[in-house]
Amino acid sequence: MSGAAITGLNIDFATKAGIHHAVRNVTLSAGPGRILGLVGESGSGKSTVALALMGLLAANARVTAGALQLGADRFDLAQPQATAALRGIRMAMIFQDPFASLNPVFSIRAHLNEVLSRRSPDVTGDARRQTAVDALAVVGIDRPEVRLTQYPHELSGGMRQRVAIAMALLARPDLLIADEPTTALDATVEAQVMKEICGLRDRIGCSILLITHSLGLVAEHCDDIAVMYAGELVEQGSVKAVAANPGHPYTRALLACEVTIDAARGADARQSRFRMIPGDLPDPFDPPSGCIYRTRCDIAIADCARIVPPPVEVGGDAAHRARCIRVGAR
Amino acid sequence: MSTAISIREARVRFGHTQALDGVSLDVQPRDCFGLVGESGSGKTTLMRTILGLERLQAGSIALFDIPLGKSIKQRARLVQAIFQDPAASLSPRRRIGQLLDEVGEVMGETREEIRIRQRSMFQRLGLPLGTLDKYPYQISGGQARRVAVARALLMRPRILIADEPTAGLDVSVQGDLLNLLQELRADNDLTLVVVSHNLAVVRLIADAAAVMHRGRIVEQGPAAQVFDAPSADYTQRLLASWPRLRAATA
Repeated sequence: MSGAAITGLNIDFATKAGIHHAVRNVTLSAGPGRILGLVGESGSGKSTVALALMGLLAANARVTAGALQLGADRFDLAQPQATAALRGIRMAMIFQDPFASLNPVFSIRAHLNEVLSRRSPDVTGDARRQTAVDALAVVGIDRPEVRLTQYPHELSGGMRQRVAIAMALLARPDLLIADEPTTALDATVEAQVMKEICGLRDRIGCSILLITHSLGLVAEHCDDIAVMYAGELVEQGSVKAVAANPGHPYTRALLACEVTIDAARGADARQSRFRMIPGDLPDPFDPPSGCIYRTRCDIAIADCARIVPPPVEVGGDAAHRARCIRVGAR
Repeated sequence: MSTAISIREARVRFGHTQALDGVSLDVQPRDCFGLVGESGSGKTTLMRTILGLERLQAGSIALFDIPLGKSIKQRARLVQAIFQDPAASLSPRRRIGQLLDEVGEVMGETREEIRIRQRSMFQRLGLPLGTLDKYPYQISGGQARRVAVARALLMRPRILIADEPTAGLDVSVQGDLLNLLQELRADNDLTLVVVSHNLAVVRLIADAAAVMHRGRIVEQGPAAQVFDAPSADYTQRLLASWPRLRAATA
């Protein structure tokens, strides 16, 4: 099995107010059989990266540069329909709202059949039906034979997301993109769905790009983490290394803002105070010079306005890099 | 002092669904009470029932010993709410100032009186006075939330209910709103009810809490006990499935 790597991805949006460089020079990779958590807040561009890979960007968006390396093959993402032939075969995606990714007028069986007819056209009839039943059972759906005949509206949110995972399982992709797959789900269901996504990776050995705003989810389930801010990648490394020793001030601030379930709690709840990052996201049409984060950074110096920070190794770990000229200067 | 909210055996039914199935709870004045549970557990129905927006099938609700009667006006003076999508709760066709003038009409104040209170409220909540002349679409999500808080507080309620106050907010800005709620509590004689599925936030902000599941309260007590030493199986399961940051470094 191969991994997936994105290099030099740039995406522009044409808007009434002008050209918006929504994603700037993003390079990241998910090793074979590894789960990469791509985190960032609203407007960071993390979902735009995913949609660009799948070729599902809005009509006013354009990939101006960027390549996807999938195993031995390289795809120029700036070409129209660069990855169209990969969709549902070598690349699959799970969306935040499973209702939107399932067609309300088709049965669950029709959804699974569509994937199978694309991926395994030789398997037909009873064998195909059995494959579909097995896939539903694997992702923890009870009474799979009955479910095949049901329609999306007859299933709960967690159940629908499992159907989407079963479809991904049948596609046996090299790269699975999961965009906020559990955001619409309750905590108990979230844990189950994440278990199925990890199980999928164990079963078919694919790389997974998990897009989320939840650092807790990344800490629990991912091998690696990439952090985006305002359209740029600011840090990447193993989850262990980044959580223990964040190199970028933004990553450090995000970790500090996260309200954890085991945070220290005083006897008087009135005294509890919460962390935040002061300031606003930069104006997309007038980004600051130098470092994109410097206007909100607590350790910025004059050089930060002059130098666009290159990736710098953190803590002697070649796989852990942060784009900050003050790495180690804390 | 009398109990701020006292609910006895409340039942609410929607068609075949028993949304509230015999709920009893007490909220002490000046406390922050956390109401947690997953979607469909009945927490929003309970909140709406306290606000008088749902009819009780059986049981009773009293606010400061005043039974929930028919007077919506009296209720509005006791309890106000900030809804989950604050931008949607502001009429898009009217300026923020006009929306807040309505509070004066309900309170029987002159235009001058309410305008003075609007200004001091905006200053206190850190909202630029220019916001009063803007339309809801011209302000940010965080500002819309503050405007919703301002509108609720201008009614001078004794109880403020916040429905999912952090939903849809990025982690870097949610602290701002939570700290604001904490400050309001500190300098007002205000009882706060926070309805949320975010266990981690409620655990820190609430003095007492209740966990709802399938229309019933499965556990209630001091927040320290509910979250750090839960007795109900369901609460334990809920807490165990909450993702932990420590997993990475452990």
